[in-house]
Amino acid sequence: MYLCSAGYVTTGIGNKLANAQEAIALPWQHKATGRPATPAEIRTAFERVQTMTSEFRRVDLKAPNPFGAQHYEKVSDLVLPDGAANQLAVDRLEKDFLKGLRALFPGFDGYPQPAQRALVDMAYTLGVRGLETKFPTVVKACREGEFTVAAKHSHRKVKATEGRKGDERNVATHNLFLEAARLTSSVQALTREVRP
Amino acid sequence: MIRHVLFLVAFLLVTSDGRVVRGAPGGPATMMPSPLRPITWSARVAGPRRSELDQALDKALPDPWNMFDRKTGQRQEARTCRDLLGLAPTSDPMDIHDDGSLPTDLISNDWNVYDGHLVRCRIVAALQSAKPSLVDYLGTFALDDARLKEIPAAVIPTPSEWEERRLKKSSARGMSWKGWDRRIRVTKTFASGVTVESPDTRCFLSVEGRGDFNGDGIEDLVLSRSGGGQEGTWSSTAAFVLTRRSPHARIEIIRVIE
Repeated sequence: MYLCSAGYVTTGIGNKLANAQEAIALPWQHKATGRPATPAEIRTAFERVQTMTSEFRRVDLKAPNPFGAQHYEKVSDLVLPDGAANQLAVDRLEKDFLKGLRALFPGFDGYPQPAQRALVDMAYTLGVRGLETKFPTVVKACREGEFTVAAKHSHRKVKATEGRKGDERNVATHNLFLEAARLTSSVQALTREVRP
Repeated sequence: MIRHVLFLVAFLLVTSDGRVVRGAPGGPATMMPSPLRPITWSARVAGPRRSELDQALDKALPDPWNMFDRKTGQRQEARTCRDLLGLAPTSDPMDIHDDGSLPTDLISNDWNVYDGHLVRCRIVAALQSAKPSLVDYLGTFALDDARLKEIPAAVIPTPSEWEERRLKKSSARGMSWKGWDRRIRVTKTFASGVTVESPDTRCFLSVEGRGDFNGDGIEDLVLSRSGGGQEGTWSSTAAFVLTRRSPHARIEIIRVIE
């Protein structure tokens, strides 16, 4: 449990916990012993983390949080079991992104899997609306099945200071689109061959 | 022309013997009558005394960062801005774990926090090397809806290089933020900062300091911007050194700090 840069209690890969009840619904356990946490312990941890906004909002009530997630380990030893954070991300994917992606790309479910994965990653970082408005060439290319073009225009801005992290993500997305293009072209070649 | 030469002579004389007039907004009085406009900075950058600005790079960061040089594999803890700015560009912050497992990349949230610190450190360094100015054409520069009609469109945050190129081109032709996106709303957030929101983006803007950053004698200001999309995890922090070269000229970006 940590405060995100906007000051909300959050867990896993950016999953906001709106209140203590949402936190209690998750399978928290004590880091050292692995013992499951009680609802009271989870509530206490949530409230402790939440009150830590006072560390950076004494003067500016909306000041961004200058602390990283590990800063909050000192007030709570509760962690989610291995895989739980990923599961939360998958749930969020189903709920928040796939519906929007299917609306933006009517043929989404028929796209090669690497293209779907690339689009999910882009939607995760940009939001579906951000993908639509900021990357119109990618959207058009995917709708037309031109995944090589999508690869070429999928690059999200990386600052000179951003180092490895931003680049790795861009390279992975680029490669997924290229793989989708290769699969599409293989399928097209196969279709031509088996056509009577 | 003669007046400009006199100003320049005065400027060189005063800066060369160090008797410069400095201070934060509302800070200590000036030392002597002078045609120079002092460098000023916000409370987020440093305390009001010049000595506090000078020492700001050595102030402890809220939390240290574990930096790893991806070229040499060397690990270093960055506790201050000076530590961060002194690292090779191949250094990245990573999470280390007490169970002995290998360091891992930061989660997006922490990366954004780190990025914010790095930009703030660079703002401090830029302010430390700024000079007092001779004239100011920017005025009080309150951040409000009207100001967004003057701030160049290239200040708008975007994760898209395609859009960034369009924003830069349009800004060069005089396009403002408000001209680019008429749907934006500005709300006051804290003393010298505002939140600017559109259906796509949400960011904080604040003036971090003023002074002459490019040596032309004209006052410039540092506008910081942090934030990102209304959806998704992308976020960015950057600062823009803005200037106005004459009383009726449009505002220009002369440097981007990121």
